[in-house]
Amino acid sequence: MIRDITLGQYFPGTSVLHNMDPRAKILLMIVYVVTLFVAETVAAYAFLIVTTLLIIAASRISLKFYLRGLKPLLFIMIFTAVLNMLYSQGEPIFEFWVFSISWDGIFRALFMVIRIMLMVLSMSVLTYTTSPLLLTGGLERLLSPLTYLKVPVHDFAMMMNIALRFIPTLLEETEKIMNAQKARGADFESGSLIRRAKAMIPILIPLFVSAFRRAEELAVAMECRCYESDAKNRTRYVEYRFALRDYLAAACCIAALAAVILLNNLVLLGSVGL
Amino acid sequence: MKNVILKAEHLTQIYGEGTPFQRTAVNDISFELYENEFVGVIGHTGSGKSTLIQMLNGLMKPTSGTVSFRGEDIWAKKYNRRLLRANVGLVFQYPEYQLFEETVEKDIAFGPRNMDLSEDEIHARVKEAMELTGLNDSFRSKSPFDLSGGQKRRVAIAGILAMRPRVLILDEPTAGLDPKGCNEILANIRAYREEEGATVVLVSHSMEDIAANAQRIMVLEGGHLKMLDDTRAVFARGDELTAMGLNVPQITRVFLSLAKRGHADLGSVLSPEEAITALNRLTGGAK
Amino acid sequence: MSVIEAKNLTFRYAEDSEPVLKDVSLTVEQGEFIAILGHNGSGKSTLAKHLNGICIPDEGSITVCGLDVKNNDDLTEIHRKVGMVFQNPDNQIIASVVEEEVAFALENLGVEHDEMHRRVKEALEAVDMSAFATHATYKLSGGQKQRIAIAGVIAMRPDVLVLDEPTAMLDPKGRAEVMEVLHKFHREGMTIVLITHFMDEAAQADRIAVMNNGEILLDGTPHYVFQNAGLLWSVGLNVPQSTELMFLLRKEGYKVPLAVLTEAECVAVLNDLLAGNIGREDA
Repeated sequence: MIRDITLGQYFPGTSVLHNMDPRAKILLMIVYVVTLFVAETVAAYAFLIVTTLLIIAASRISLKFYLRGLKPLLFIMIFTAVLNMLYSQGEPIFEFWVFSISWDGIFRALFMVIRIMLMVLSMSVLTYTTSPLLLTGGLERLLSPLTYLKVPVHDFAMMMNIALRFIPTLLEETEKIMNAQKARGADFESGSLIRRAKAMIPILIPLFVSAFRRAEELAVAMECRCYESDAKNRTRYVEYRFALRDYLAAACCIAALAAVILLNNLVLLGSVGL
Repeated sequence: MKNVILKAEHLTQIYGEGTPFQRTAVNDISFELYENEFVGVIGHTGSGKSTLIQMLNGLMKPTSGTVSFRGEDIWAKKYNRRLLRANVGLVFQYPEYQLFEETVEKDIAFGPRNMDLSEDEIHARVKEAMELTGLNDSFRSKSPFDLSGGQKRRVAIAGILAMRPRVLILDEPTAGLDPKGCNEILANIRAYREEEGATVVLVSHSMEDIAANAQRIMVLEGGHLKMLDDTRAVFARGDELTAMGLNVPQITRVFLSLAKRGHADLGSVLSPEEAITALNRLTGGAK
Repeated sequence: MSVIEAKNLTFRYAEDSEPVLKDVSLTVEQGEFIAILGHNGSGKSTLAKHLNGICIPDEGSITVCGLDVKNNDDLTEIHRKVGMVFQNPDNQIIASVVEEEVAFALENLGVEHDEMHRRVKEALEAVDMSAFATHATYKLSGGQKQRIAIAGVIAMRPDVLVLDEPTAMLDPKGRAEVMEVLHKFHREGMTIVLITHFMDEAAQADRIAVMNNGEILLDGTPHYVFQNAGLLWSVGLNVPQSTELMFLLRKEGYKVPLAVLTEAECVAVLNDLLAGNIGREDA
């Protein structure tokens, strides 16, 4: 159920990927996603599937959790695939009404799904191996030049942190409230759409009330721990320094990009260009 | 004559079966609950108490084993589990977090309304539940969010009582309340049991409250049912409870250690009042 | 030397409302372990919030380690000197990882990197949570979360530790863990103010101040305070069962002492009684 949502969750560990500089991880993930969009051939995709699996292996987190993270996106993936399949040019192999399906369309759909999957997987690698605090810390530092343009980067980062910190707490609370209302005879599973939407009120109101109470108490707790949003001399528990592993990872990433470009241009047996 | 109202047979609940996080929360538990009895449930956090009680009202389906209410298997095909939840009322921990309506009256009516009762019947039940929990008429139109912690708790419990459950299960209904608030809630529960002839299952960490209210005690540890016996018999096994990291009422402990010092004739004692009776017996009767 | 000196505090949440604190005076000495006992709504939490400048009194004065809470410039220093731990562990943990949570206040105070790491390590050791340094905070038990919250405060090297019902939401095991940590800090010389409605916890302090209706009703050692069982019952509080038994025995005419709190004390008195060493008034 709700607990199945793993995207954005962090799995503590000590793998190479866990120990990498979050700034490096964020930048390299962007490069990797770009690489995914550069790929055009079967060979390039096959290569990227292998590299993604290697990256996942390097994170030392079970593949099962990554696959579970894909589940909520199943609908979007199928939808994209069908759309790509139906609206494609090329030699039709099957036709009905205004639609025609071609090999070209099938490959395009397949590539699209693989691309989305690989993208989600690589983003999951980032969030699974990077604590939310490090992640926002990394983002904050990457975006820190914006402070000169009077963008409150630190405030945004703090908000992100707190939101991430409270996601599991609020999910757990949602489940508790749902069970409590079910024990009072509430029915969330049957009836028309409007009826079901109405049935959510007994969950949403207590959830909001409690979120506000939590926010209020948290603000006081933060003040008690000397938090001031405009503090000038704040230091950081985690100091970032690019290490050898970060440079190596960057080298691997660029090599992958180069390999994909190369594979795009190699006409291999059975490859179909787009 | 003891009539069985709720029966659990070989109940087992395994979380995350087949994953590395597999955990057996409840392991092969069987017992019978009788009509109108008061049962206390004790055990550590993680001993399986919360899982067990959620299986008793059909909120959670056991991995294996059966629960039957008045002889009917609650997971049989076509069994109405929504109706069961009215019959086996479950008050969760910190139940005040489930309040959502604009007025106390409407909130208490939520349960009865879900049972498709007539307006008159709903009205009557809300009135009765409010009386049982000591909420006078002035609370009727108040917002539940404006009340004190103890009052909110009573509104939430009234919301379950208004469904007139035959079995009332409460998961730590006094957690976080001060002594006065605790005593009020426990008095409400006793009053409901007496007036409706209902069965009460009280999960609590307070051994004093359990000793003062329960007729029988269920002791859970690591998902197993370790003891199920009369309150006096369970607390007489103070050493075993202590070994499980559970407590015994202070007064019971005092008399257990007096027994070890050669005063076994005092017998076991569950409350200060019982202590006086026992002491008077040995020293020459009441004044 | 007194660490906290509150004189004639009066406080209202809204101008036209009944005061929550009425002319409260309280002095806390260096190294003292004081419990503030009271029912819900007695004003004990409001008093706690005055001790570190979260609430500023409408009337009266309060100084903390010589600093006046009414002086805005000193507020951050007061927050540092008086560490606060609250009731709900989930609503005071800011970070997702244990060590980062403990470091939060130090980051805000601008503590240098090496010093910060040293202090986080020490604080985690002090609450016996070193093994959890890199764990996710939300997966901890209630008792562990509260110990982390305490570590986050201890890392600031405060002079006083104020805890507002830190065990109210915990199970007996979690409560015992937290109390053990408090006793340890107390032995090491920390001043501790524990707000609670559990009389067994209050009984473990050096001194108890009982609050009722915004006023301090009783103030003294646990043995002194619990002798006033009748008064405590009348304001919705409890006494230990051993103390209750002594009261019932007195009613029966036995000349037992009233200042009995613990199991051991009670066993000793009853042993005496059964041996015929305690007299009885005749009817």
